Amino acid sequence: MELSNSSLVDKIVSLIFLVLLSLYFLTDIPQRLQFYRYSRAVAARLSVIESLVNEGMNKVRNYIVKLGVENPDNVLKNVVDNYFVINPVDIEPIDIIKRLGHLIESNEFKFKADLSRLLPKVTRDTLNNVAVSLSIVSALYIIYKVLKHYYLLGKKYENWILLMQLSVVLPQIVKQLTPYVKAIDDIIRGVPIGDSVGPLVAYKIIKLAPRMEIVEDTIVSRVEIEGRNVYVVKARGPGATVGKPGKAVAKLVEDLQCNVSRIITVDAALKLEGETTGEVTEGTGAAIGDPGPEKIEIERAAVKCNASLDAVIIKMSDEDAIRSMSTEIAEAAEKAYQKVLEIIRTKTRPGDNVIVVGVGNTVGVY
Amino acid sequence: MSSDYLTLLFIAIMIVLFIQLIVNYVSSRKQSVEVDVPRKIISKIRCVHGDYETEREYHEGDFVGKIEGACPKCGAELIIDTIYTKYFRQTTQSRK
Repeated sequence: MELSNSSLVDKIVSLIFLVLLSLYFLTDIPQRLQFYRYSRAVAARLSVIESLVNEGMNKVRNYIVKLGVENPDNVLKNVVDNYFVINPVDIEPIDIIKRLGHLIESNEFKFKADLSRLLPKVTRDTLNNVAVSLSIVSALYIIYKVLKHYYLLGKKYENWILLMQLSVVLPQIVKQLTPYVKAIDDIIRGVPIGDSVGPLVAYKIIKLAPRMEIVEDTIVSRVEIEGRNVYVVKARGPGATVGKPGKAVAKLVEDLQCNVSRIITVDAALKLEGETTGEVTEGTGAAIGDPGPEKIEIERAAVKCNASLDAVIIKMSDEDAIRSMSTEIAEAAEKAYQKVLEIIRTKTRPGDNVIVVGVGNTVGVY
Repeated sequence: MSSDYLTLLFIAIMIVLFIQLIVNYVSSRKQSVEVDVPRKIISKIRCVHGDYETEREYHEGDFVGKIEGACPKCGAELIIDTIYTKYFRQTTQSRK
């Protein structure tokens, strides 16, 4: 009796295994299950990103309502889905930088002109804060739309590999996007962010010395350091703007008739995983992270005048760069300032003209 | 008899796999992550002559370079020199 019982269990277990193996190898049920699993995971992550976009929009909506806008939803709707830039033709590379610079500038001009019309009574600094906040929300919305597009494509064509790729990459994207939503608060309040470290170093050199707007949203100030004429370029603060440091340097070099011995750029740089936040290092080249038009202006100015081009960078993660400035980065700003002074003292001579460019968003820094 | 042991082994493997499935599912739902939470935004104020320095909590409208009155020691201008945020690390339970 015992033997027959055990034989029955044996047969049932064998049958279960046989059925499971047949289902696994001879049907597409596993793929269907994976499709369902990944589809649910992607939908959950997308709803998180959607809530981040909505949170960002609510923050900006409340801010512009405070500034007196009667129909904030109209402003948001108009901004978040507009103002895209189509890349210039790249199979003909001649003057591509000029064309790209022109497109970026035209788009910025149009965006700010439209904002000024919608918010006629606010100051220029406040308008810059609104513009940057809206740009962040717009970027978040575009990322959300693209991800949703791929999710719906995956579902439409039952492409579980596409959904699997999305489900693998989405947790990382959610982590990267979250600081951007938090940054909106800091931009609105006018608190310096990690990326403001370049303008902060520039401020430490010029303090409250007179500023002259050399190109739009960018100022230059002249100070004397141990007999050297130091021209400091930074975005016009304390509103949130990066200015046009490249064009400012080009104009300044022209005004100085190319009598420049050194150009020093100071900027926040993305650290590698494992590197320390706030580490200050010195190198050669233009430390500026724009799509190209501003950086090339600095490089061309340095080449034209045969001036050495130094880069002082302050390392930080992308999260550190966008959130309000941490203690480590504030301390690093002082170290970078000392490093710039050291370069001026040791690598230039009294009477030389030196240009220092504090690159980055000058929110909260005059 | 050996057939009985084999059956038991199969059942044991199935139970272990099932438990692992449940554990994986639960751990994928909840994961403890370390996040930096902003504690305080500080405005550091310094005399232009460098003989006096103080810190206070950030007020709306503060910016680096803002004149904040006169130095109690020399009477020169007091200026906001740096604005920074003190963060503290917090462990939170969140969905993976």
